[in-house]
Amino acid sequence: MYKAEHPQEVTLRLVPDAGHPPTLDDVYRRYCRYVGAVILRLYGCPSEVDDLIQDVFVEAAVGLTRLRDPEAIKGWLATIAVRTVRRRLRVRRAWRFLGLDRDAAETVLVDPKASPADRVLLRAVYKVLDEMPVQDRLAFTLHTIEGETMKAVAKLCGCTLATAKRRVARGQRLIEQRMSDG
Amino acid sequence: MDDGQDLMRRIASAGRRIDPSLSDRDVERLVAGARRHRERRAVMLRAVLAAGATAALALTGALVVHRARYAPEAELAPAPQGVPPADTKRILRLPDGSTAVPLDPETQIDLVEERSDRVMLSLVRGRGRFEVTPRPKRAFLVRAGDVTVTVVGTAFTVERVADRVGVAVQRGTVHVDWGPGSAPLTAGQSGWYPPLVTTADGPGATAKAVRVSRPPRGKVASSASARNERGAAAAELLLAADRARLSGRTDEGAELLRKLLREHPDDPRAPLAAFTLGRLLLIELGRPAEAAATFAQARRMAPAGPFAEDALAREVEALSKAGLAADALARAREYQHLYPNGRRMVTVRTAGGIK
Repeated sequence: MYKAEHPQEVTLRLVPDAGHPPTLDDVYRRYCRYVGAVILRLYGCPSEVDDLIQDVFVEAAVGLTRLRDPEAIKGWLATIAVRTVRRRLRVRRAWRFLGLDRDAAETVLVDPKASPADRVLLRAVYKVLDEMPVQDRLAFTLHTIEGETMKAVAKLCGCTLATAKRRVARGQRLIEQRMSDG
Repeated sequence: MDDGQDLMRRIASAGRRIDPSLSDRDVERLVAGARRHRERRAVMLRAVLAAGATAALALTGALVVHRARYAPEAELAPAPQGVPPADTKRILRLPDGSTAVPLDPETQIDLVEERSDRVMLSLVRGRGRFEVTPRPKRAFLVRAGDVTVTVVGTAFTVERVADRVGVAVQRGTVHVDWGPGSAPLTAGQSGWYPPLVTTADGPGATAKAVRVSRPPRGKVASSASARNERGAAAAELLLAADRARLSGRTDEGAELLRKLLREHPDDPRAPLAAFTLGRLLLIELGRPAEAAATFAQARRMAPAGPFAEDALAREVEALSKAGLAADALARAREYQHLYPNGRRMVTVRTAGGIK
């Protein structure tokens, strides 16, 4: 379900050795970049990524000891990341409603090798995402930008497959509409 | 349809370039931060458990005494109201009896300065409650980012959320200063600072005196009434811009500010209007190049005014966001030269690309 194509992920064995189960710090080191990339793609604002990563791992610390399958850690962290970003997006929306949000127009961080066209495109996309309902935004971003399957989107968002498909489709329609408006 | 699919493919391809670029050092910093956070939670949990156990013991003891004496008037003292649970080990106590109480496990309060005439604390993150012993000859300041709260003798709470600072006053009066403006807050009042749009004449808020170069004598208005009329028109424009912005009509707010700058460039409110317009363009309208020019205009209008430092820092940020790296670097160097101890130095260096 979760692709291993995140180049930031370092290779650190997390299979418990005899008497040496992975510590939370080990988990953190291994998945920090992965969680950071997921969060940045979902949330868009680089200035809050550190804070959100911390939130994800604080929540993860509570349940880690109960997790039996070390291979499930990555998917489990992604679920927490989606939940954490959803909460923060809702707070940000409320702040924006009150006129207190200042990061809406913040530039998304991209690889220095990205072309200027990609940068412009991403900026425009995230501007539209800021208008989109939070659930649609998450489903759209997970599917289109993060590259998750619809089944994975449904699992990460905690909804049915049909709902996930509807949300992604709504997101795509809004993006197409806004981008064609220029 | 094909266009739509092509667009999604382009977005997917560009999306793969999104990367927080965390270095090994960043990862270690985050790991260390998370460890400290867990330790603080553990300490907090132990403190709460200990407090609970103590309270249970005290309650049991009181009940025993009560029953032994059959004294109906011997009631338990009521629990203190309105004081959130605090980590008593981390309370900062000053020699004059003033206290700073962290209200969250992650709260960090530093003592920056302690002199007989001035005490300064810094709320680095989180929420803190401050009880200040009245001493008229000593200024007591709490700094949270760009916002400074000055008090004489009072109790108040300061909270940092991202770059905004919330202040709530329980007792007495405080004075909140966010650089370009300031406002008094009295008991029972609260607010978030800096306000996104600052008005010179907003309720309770005042813009600091702005030094503006005087126009040539011949161009000075011929009568005081004409001057007053123009001043009133400028004030009305600034208020209208504020109302438009707060109602979500950002473009209209920006247009009103532009009108003020066009029609009343010599008004003392003009630098404030330029600074506010720059913030709107940068933060809300996503026009960094235009924002940079507007911040430059704000500085030209009042090079030694209270907005100058913030305007230059914002100009660097705007130039960087507009992709004008060379200009951003030049302005960042200018900031370093003009404000070697500037409070926006870190942001300016980062945005300007100074290693």
